[in-house]
Amino acid sequence: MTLTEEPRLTGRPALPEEPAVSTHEPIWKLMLRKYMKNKLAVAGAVLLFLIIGAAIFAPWLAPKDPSQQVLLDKLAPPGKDYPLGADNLGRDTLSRLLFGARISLLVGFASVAGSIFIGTVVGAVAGYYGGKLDAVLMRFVDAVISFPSLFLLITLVTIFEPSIMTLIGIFAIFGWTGTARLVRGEFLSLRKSEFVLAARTLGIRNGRIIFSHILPNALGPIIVSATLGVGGVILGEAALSYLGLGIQPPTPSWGNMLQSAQNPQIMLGAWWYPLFPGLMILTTVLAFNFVGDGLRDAFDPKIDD
Amino acid sequence: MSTNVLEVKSLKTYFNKNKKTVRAVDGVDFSIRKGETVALVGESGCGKSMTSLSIMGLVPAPAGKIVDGEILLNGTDLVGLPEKKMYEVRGREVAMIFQEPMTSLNPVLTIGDQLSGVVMHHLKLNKKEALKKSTEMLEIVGFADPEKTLKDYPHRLSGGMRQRVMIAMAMSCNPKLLIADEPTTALDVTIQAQVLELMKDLSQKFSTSILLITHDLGVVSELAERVIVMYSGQIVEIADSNRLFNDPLHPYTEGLIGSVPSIDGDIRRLEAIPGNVPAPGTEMPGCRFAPRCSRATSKCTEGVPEMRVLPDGRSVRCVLYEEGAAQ
Repeated sequence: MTLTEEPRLTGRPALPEEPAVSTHEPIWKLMLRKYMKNKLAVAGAVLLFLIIGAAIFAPWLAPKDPSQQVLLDKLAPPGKDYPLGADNLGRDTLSRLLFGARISLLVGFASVAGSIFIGTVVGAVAGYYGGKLDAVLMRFVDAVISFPSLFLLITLVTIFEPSIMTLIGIFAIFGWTGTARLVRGEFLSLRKSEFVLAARTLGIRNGRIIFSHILPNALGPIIVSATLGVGGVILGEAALSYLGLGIQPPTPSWGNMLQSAQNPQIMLGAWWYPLFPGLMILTTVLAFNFVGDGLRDAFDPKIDD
Repeated sequence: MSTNVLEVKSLKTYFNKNKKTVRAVDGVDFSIRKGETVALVGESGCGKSMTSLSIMGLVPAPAGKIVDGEILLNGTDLVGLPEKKMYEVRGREVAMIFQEPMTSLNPVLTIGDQLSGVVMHHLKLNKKEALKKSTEMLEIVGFADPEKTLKDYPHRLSGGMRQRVMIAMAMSCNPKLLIADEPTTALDVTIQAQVLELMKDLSQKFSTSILLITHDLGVVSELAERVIVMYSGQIVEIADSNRLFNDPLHPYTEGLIGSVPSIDGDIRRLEAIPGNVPAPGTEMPGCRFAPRCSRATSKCTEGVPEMRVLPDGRSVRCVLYEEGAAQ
């Protein structure tokens, strides 16, 4: 007892050292504030909000039935009847874009959810346990990456009927490897950190350490990878549909709308027909990327505002 | 001997790296009584931390391995205990706090999440009870507004406060043994004193034994009742704290004490121990300290001296104190 003579066990006086930041706003407010500072991310979020809203409310927003063909109006330019023009079968482009958004976003979100799940579990287990398990899992990842995936995608799509579900499955199965590598890398460095050792000395189980202690620290990169992934899958779906192997007509998707615009005469003559689906893909992918960046900053408690 | 909380018997923890064996802990014997604070001192790389990790069963595998010995915690041997049983020991029976309070709390979980998680796991409490217990613990370690602190993230706390949180977490399940691995090294001097005082109080209140790992002899004299001096994987001296400082036996202990400036003593030159700690894995015949020892004789390199218990209860590993040696 050098400092005080009697042991005071409870109700010690307030500590002389006070934290530098003493405001006590809830964490989500702090994150929101950090997010709002990134103007591009806000713009991306607004755009995504509009696009997702448009997809959800497509049946009410669409001026026409997306499958209704009016052959007399084929390739009609944008105007009063057709705000964004009509396609080669006389279908309203705006209506098809709205309904196509549903398909493209559904495929994007669902397959990324799947691939993030697989990638996170594989990467987390490999990175945390290391050693032989890590080597086996990562060589498996290498093998999956070395598949010529486009050809395999094409083959699989021709074997299984190209439905929305098969597309989601295929993108999930081929999309997880990047996430797995990313998560493994994060885990490799985080598992050596002192707070993991401290958690282990407190008797916390491996499963809990992996998912409750380390994973939240790796959430930033995972979220960025997921948002970029959604954009990537939308692009991938567009590419497959463009080749006629994706979503099958008459169901509209942004990709297969482009497909029917492949004809150079149409491209040059009716520029509005390929332009709008292309713009939608571009805008959506860009918006996802901006949102991803914003979320990464917001999630990272180490980046203080 | 039933009052011994911990008994470590001829513990050997070796590392295998590139077919070379590093004897990080090479035959360590000691015991800690209930409520006692024992300091484990020595220079960096002498095996202090590996001894503590061996007790926790957290020697980095696969390179490191406990090759021999027993670690008896209340009579139960922890060596070779299945991992599933070790989960119940860690945090519940033996807890540990670390040097760097800045990095030993998870930056993305609130203090409440981390503290209540431990309590829920070991004491089988529900969320509400766990939060109540966490609030109590924070109050005990001196937080003025525990409810507020529970919702905080670690980066909002200062180093001393984080170390208090670590102590609260470690003590939350009332462990029998607390291993403190350089608990104050990274803290300001004023905060060091607070943390030491807190540890002293808690160990008295809960009659927890403390194994204090440090190279700071000031901390040792402040807190420890007995001192174990380690050198190059072996214990060279065990003695009561007062005795050790007033009358060190082993030349290495003398050197350690001589290299600390004293406040009340004469102003004198600090005496550094010449040379360095042998690189881990260096094999040498005889006493490992001999190459740096000012009192070394040819006898020192003939064989590793045995640990010898003197009549007054102190133990020392040095030829100077062997049977028949001229005192």
